[in-house]
Amino acid sequence: MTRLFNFIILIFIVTASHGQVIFETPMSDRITGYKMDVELDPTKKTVSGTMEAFWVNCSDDIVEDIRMHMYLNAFRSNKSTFFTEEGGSPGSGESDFGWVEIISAYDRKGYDLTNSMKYIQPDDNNSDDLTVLKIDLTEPALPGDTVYLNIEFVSKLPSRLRRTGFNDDYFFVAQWFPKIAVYEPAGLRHREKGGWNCHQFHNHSEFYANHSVYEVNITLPEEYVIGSGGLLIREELLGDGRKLVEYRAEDIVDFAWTAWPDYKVATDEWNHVKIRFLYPPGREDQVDRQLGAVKNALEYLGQHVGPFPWPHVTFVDPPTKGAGAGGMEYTTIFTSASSAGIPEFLLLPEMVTVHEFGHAYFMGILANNEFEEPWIDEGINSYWEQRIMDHYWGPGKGIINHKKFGVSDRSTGRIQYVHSGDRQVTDNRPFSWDYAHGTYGMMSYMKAANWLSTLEGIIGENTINEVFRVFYNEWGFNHPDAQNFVDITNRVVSEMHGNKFGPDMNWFFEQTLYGTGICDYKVDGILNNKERSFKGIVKSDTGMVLRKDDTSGDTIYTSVVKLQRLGEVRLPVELLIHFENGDEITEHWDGKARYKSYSYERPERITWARIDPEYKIVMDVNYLNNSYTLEPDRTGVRKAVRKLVTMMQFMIQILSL
Amino acid sequence: MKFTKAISLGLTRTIRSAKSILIIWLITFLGFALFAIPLKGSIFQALGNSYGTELIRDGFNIDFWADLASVASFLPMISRGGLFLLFLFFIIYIFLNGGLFDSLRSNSCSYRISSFFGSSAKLFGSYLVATLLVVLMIIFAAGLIIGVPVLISRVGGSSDIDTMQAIYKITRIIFLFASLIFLLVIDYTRAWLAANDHKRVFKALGYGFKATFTSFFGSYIFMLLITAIQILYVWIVTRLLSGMQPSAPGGLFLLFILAQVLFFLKLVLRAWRYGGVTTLYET
Repeated sequence: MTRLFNFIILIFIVTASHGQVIFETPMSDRITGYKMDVELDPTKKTVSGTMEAFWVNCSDDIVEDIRMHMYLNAFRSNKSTFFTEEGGSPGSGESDFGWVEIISAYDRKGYDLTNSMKYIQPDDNNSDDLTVLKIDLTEPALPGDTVYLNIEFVSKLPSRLRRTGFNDDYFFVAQWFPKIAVYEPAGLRHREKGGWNCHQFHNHSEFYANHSVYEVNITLPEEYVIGSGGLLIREELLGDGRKLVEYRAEDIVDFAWTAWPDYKVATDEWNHVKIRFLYPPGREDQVDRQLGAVKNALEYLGQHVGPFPWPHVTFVDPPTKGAGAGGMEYTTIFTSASSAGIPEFLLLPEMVTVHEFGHAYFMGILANNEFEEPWIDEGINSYWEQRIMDHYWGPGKGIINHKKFGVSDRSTGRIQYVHSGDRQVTDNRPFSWDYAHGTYGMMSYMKAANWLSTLEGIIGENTINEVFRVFYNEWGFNHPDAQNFVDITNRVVSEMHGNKFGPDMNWFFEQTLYGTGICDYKVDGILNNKERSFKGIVKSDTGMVLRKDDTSGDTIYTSVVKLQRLGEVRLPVELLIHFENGDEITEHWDGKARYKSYSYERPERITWARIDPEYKIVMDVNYLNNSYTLEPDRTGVRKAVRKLVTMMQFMIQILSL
Repeated sequence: MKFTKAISLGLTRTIRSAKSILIIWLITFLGFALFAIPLKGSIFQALGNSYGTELIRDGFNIDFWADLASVASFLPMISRGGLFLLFLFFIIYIFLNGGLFDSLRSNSCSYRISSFFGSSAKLFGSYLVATLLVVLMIIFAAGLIIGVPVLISRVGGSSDIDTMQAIYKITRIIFLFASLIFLLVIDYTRAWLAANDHKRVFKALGYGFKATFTSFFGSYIFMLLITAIQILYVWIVTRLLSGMQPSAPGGLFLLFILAQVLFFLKLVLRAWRYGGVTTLYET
């Protein structure tokens, strides 16, 4: 591969079509790039066309083949790894199935590569799975070389939308083209030896890709409304009932698009970002709600993590028939999920919108390997989603914000982990499809979000914000792994707190990220013993006499608070002790021992004691045993039971005709 | 106007039947106390000396209830007990309705408690059959009015949930109005059974339908009005009780008294409906 060709590629990267460049300085290394010219056939449900792609060998290795993801082939049969793991089938009719087929493939010199292509199954040797394609190169790629591919392909979309596919005239086109995998050089993600990281498409898994440049021309019937993750360059009617739409996208990890004749479009702006919202007729009530949610997320993540670099973002609220595409992220295009008539106090649509937008950061910018470390994008993103929801919609009201009662987003996340029967089955280390007992969702989303909230409780909000700022600055537009995050946390905590938490925070991550233990602290009891003066028989001049209590002095109590650590996880916790005169003492317990007591000699008795009084240790599995009081307040329970019983009385009266 | 007479005389009959309503309230109160007392006791036991109740001091807290449910293994059992209690009281109310209808027929305030229970026992079997049959009719009507249009629209190619929701909303309103007819049927049936041969359930049901449609306008307007009042009342009660957040024992006691007074008034409203239909039946 010649240096001259590298130069041509460079020109391709930097000078976009019609001179439209999004970033004057590329945000990423742009190891891969794609120029596609495709047409949507709404009758055949296919997208077909040509693709010019390049891959730059940034490693020190001599690479002899290219690996490509052929995700749509997961829908080719019920024996694909995706459907074998799911236990289902793409459907019954021919149109239900999906596939991607390369018609022809040539390299830069015009050599035909079709005979060098071979499907491989690096994860499970399932020969029916055709989601990873290996193309042997005619000449090995030397370090610094650029490999050029000229491919003609057809993608048949599956009918039952699982993120991607069609339903009638609705199309959501994602993971749809032959996509070059990530070649990880030695050192990246702590790899000892360079190599392709290209996994098959699994049921419980998402994706992994390089930040790329995309130039995509899409031809489709002119009545279709289209949205994509690219910046619209031009839209031209072809005069034969079709139109050509040209997009350019820079430094994104995937290019997805959607088309449907009935989409309605709303637009808005937030600082430099133009927001485009596609939604179905009848959901006008969602427009302000969801645009507001995106703007809140833009503001919050911009303030606390780093700027949103792209000047554009498109998001889609799919119609019911496209609901299977809902709740998915492709950086500059993402899908929310709602339906008509969702009351305003129920914030599920906003939550999905905030979450999916957040993925622009956590895997869009910080492009972790979602196959291997799903907690990095899903867990971290869930943590930020909870913060955003509870910040903008009110503390304790991030999911339900009814004037009579509220439910916080963080609490719903906590409950899903702490009350899961499988919370100790595994830690956060398995690959996404290897989480045992179906714990992928609970572990990668909720457990990780819980321990991140707990980490925030321990090191403080400012410190964790700084951790993420550094994470963004150092690993943005790259591929971080768990150890990178741990290393940055250790460094930032050390810089901001010195040795307060020890030489590093590894003790935390070993128990949470890499541990299966639970966290449960308990106040076991309170004792208040009155100190008494001597009472007994003493010898005196008159003989043996009884000396009684001296009650003239002040009464002193020896008070003891007894604590227990019931779980395996050992975290530093605060203990708030309240005395009967209103005095309060805060103790800091390292939380390591199984038992711990605090004793006081004071004229007042202890009335209550609370471990973690501000509920910072979110992963504590039982808040109720965190405290002990000598004067239990039962008002809340009585009130709730009375209201429940009255409701039941009214209900039976209505039911009995 | 027939329905104004039903309203005024129905109310008079209800006032005269205050004793019967009081009996029903008392039985309901005692029955639900048997549920509430162990429920409260069990929760208190599970909480022990926890200070965690601070979480629900200002109202609902999902962490509190979720953590309580995880440590209080009895809660699922009590929930099932609550459902059983609802079923039990469905039967008990059918029983008590016999006495209530009989007392509403009486022109005297001195209706005897023994007569109340005697009539309840005498009418129970036929009231049970009639009520279950009308409940089945209501379920069937719901399927016909709400289910069939939704099904047809789906078969017809409209798979959009927004269209479905619109159809569901409209048919639900139609069903609400249609269900008043069934209430009239069951009330006329019960009035007939209380006044005639209590064993002839199907004849009574036939009469129920006949009476409903013979004087449809007057009967329906009456039922519509009384149902509107009841719905409005339940809405007010719901808002009132959910807004009350007492934090002191005195306030809690007041909440308890108020809730029971409001429930008693709901029983009065129900008796008013029965009394009105009894008036319509007798005229």
